[in-house]
Amino acid sequence: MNAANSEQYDDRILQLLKSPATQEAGFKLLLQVYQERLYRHLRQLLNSHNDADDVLQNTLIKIFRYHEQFKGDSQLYTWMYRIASNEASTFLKQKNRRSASSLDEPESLISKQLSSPSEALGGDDILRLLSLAIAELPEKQRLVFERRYYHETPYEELSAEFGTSVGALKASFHHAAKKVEDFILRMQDV
Amino acid sequence: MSDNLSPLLQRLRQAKQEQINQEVLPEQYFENLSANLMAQIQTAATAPQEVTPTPLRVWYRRPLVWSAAASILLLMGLGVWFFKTPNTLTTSQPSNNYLACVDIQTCLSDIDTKDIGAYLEQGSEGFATEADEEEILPENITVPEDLAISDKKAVEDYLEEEAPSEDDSSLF
Repeated sequence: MNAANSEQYDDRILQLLKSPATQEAGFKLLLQVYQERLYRHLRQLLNSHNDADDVLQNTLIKIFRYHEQFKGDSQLYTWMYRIASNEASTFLKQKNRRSASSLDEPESLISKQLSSPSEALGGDDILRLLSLAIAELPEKQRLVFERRYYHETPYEELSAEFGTSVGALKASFHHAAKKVEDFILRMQDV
Repeated sequence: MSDNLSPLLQRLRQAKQEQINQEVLPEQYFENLSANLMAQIQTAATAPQEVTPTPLRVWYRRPLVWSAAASILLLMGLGVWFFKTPNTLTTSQPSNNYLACVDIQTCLSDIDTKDIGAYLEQGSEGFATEADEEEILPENITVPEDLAISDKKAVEDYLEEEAPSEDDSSLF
């Protein structure tokens, strides 16, 4: 189901979710329409299918639990997208903290693995660094960067979604890209 | 894409896309995911509401009640002690009655010690002497002429008889 088709189901999904008697039917429809799109998005933010699967399940359960908080001031997918992005960011930070606490010198370990940048660029480790660098960005910069970097969402669409001017969004993306690159280079130099 | 991405970020994005493209999803992944999630929310909906026993906040389980009671008892005990303790007035430890409000040293300094000394000196001279007795009881007692007594002579005789003789002075 593509994006254009999926949005026509939003009203129906929200209507079904409102009533306790039809909540399950509404959630089932939501899964049919959006779970694959959310998975693709999460898979780009995270480093493996297993990670994406864990975060997707948490995201969908949260969407079901807190669907009443959706105000309707944005598209349903945009709202779910933000929840998924925040969940992924939290997941990556927690995972990084766990690995940092389980290893004495995690940064030196990464630097050893990245001792040959040309090889590392094709490996999973540098992509893991990329995910972590994005997760460490401030929320708004992170959301803008993800949408532009992975999905190439037009600035005009982002401007309407975030209520910010196109110029401000471009500046935000530029700063975010610089931070991500600096983070990766710094970790390589460690 | 109009963003001027650095070569590093461009290569990373490409590498990420290749990684995802190479990945093969488990068979019927989305169907199984849907079934799993539906089962989770159905279980949550049908599960009996877990009754978490609310701690019974009866009055005797409230620490505040016990603290207040202890404070009241302490105050009552202090009150009883304050009014029942004997009034032992010393210079180092003030008594607990209202006289304690008066500085004992001030009281002592108000007393004229010269008067006390004079009084003690006078007292040290001893008890009443014979001369004192003579002053109190004159030896020659006469009945006044104008005393309205019919038998004046009889009275004078009686007094002479009763007056102490020279020999009786040894008694003192």
